[in-house]
Amino acid sequence: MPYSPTLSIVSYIGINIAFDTGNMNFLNPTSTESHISLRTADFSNLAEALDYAAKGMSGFNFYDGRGKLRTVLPYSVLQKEAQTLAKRLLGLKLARGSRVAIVAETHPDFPRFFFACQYAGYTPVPLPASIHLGGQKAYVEQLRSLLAKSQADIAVAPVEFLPFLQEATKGLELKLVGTPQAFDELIESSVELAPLQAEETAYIQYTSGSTLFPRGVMVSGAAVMHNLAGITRDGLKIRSGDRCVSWLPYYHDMGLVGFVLAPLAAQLSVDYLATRDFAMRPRLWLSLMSDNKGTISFGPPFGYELCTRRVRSDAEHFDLSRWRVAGVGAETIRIEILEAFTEKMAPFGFDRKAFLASYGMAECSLAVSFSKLGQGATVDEINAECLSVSQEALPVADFSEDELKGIHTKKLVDCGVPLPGHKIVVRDEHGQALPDRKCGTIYVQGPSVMCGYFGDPVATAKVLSADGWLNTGDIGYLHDGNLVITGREKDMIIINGRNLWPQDLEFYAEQQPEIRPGDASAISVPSADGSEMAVMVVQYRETNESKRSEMLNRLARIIREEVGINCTIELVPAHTLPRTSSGKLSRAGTQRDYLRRQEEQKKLSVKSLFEEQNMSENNSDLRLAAVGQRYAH
Amino acid sequence: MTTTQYHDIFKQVEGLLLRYAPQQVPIQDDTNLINDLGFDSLKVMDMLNEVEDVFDITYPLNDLASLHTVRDFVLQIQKIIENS
Repeated sequence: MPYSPTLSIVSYIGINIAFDTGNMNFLNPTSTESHISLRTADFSNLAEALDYAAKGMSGFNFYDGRGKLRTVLPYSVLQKEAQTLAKRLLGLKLARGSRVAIVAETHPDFPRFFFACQYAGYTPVPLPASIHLGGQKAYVEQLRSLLAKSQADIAVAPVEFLPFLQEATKGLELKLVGTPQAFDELIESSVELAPLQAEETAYIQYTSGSTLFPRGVMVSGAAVMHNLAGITRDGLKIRSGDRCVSWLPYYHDMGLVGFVLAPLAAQLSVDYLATRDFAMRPRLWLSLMSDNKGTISFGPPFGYELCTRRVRSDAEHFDLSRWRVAGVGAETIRIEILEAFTEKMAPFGFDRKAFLASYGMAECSLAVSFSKLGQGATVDEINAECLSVSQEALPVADFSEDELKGIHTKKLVDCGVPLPGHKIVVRDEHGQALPDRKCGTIYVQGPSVMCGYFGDPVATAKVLSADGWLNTGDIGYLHDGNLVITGREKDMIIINGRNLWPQDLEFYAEQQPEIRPGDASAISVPSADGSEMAVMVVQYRETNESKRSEMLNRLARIIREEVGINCTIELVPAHTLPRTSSGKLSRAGTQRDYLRRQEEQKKLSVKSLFEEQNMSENNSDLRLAAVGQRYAH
Repeated sequence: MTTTQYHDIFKQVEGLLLRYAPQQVPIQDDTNLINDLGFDSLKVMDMLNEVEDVFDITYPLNDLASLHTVRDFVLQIQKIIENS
């Protein structure tokens, strides 16, 4: 499809000014074919990758919340714009490697600033652009903490985010805080551009984990290029005719590395939908895939689930037959979600074999392993009792029908083999490598692993050994070289695709005058439909019923306001929370005890529930207890 | 005129909130979307989808940050309509 460079450039500079009069839309997206020979990320640094892509016709396309194309940014334009901006930034005379914080909204200004940093020799730091209902205070605090931790020298935000950024930078000494336009008014320096090299930090990615105690992953140019080559050449086997569609946020590793850097490093066009617009209208994802003949898109399971739940298949006409890579990762993959999506989308030509399970983390640039391309998600069905008793993942095929009677089984999705050049080892708590099918902590080594956490040698030393082995904190096992994830050591809670750290939830409880440090323990338990739900068990001495109910409501409200999720609060007497031998809270113990209490409560209340026929209030808790029992380790 | 408009928008918003809210309570000006109606970040997106369609507006994401009560919501919608 031809595009008009002039119109594209004009529309880009006049950001968000659409060239549509009435129903006419003069913009055309960049072509799928780049018209240059395909290179799969065999560059020495990111600037070089853009320099090559700029010779072709492909690029980024930005769609609005109604599915209309608003801005087209061919790589050729991105290169020129980024280089000009780099010269303006150099006029600020910052030291090489200075941090440039960018509020990472899905907008052409993000890649422009990100690559300006690559050309200027500064380190970009994407900041979240996620706002929760009534969450102004929490968002400003989060920005402030990230700006301080990253020691940013300058910070940029889209105009609508500027008030938050300005509030967050109060009292911090930054050289310039402003909108992209403010930076465009700087005078260009005459200094020659000296792009970031392979051994320098290409960007700092704040992990999607803790917001209160963030850790900035430093990824070198060499590490990210290795990972991009692994993704594009080996994992996805990019070929001519591929086109990407993404709604993943730019401040998330899968959105940034997977769908900004990887397509650019392989000269592919990308059609973007802002995360907010996807959450509001999930059908837009599918309609973009259909209209633009997209072949590659990724999402966490929750993204597929949202489509299954909200898209009215009877009222739609999609063509999803070209979708050859439907990547899934970023949280535990439940096969039921993928099956439900397939069932709903098969009439539109969606092929279940397109599912590609993946495992990765920001600490390894992005990708660690991919399942086999074109095979769909494959499962390893195991005996769940053996898993919980002896941490052994034994396939049901090894048991007779009699042996399996009354035994729970689990279907776990295979996450494939590590990328070339990378190794995975599963170790026990003493660091000893474990044999196949024994569960332990997953360690990764290879050229994509980070250099460390920015300004945090203590946290770095905890996860990264001198010989380059990264402790992922995830639990899993290997079978025939395939990796399967069974849990997370880090106690992370994942709700609707968001990673939440229990410490963050506990912090808000401990802020209450009646609650002391160590009195709250946040955990994740399976809900009725198998998805995760957040629970916080809080020790509270008060026996007065109205005070107890006030505390329950207060804590639930604070978590909703500050974190944006519903969290079930349970108040328990003092000395209830289990601790480890060293006196630390045991979240595994909290989870086990919580599920046991739910089960007991269920037994006690069954009779009265049936008498009153009033299931509404406790129904979900009851189902939870039942399901929880099944899944409990 | 402004009062009438507020009232009209309120009436429409009331209907939408009652359909999408996880907790059913009478809708008043100072009803809190989070605490009284039980909205979370994802549920609210579902409702906003319909709000955008009904009023033919684009609700800016950053407005969410200062959205607490039904009154906030109605005033925000009113402002967006006036500015468009």
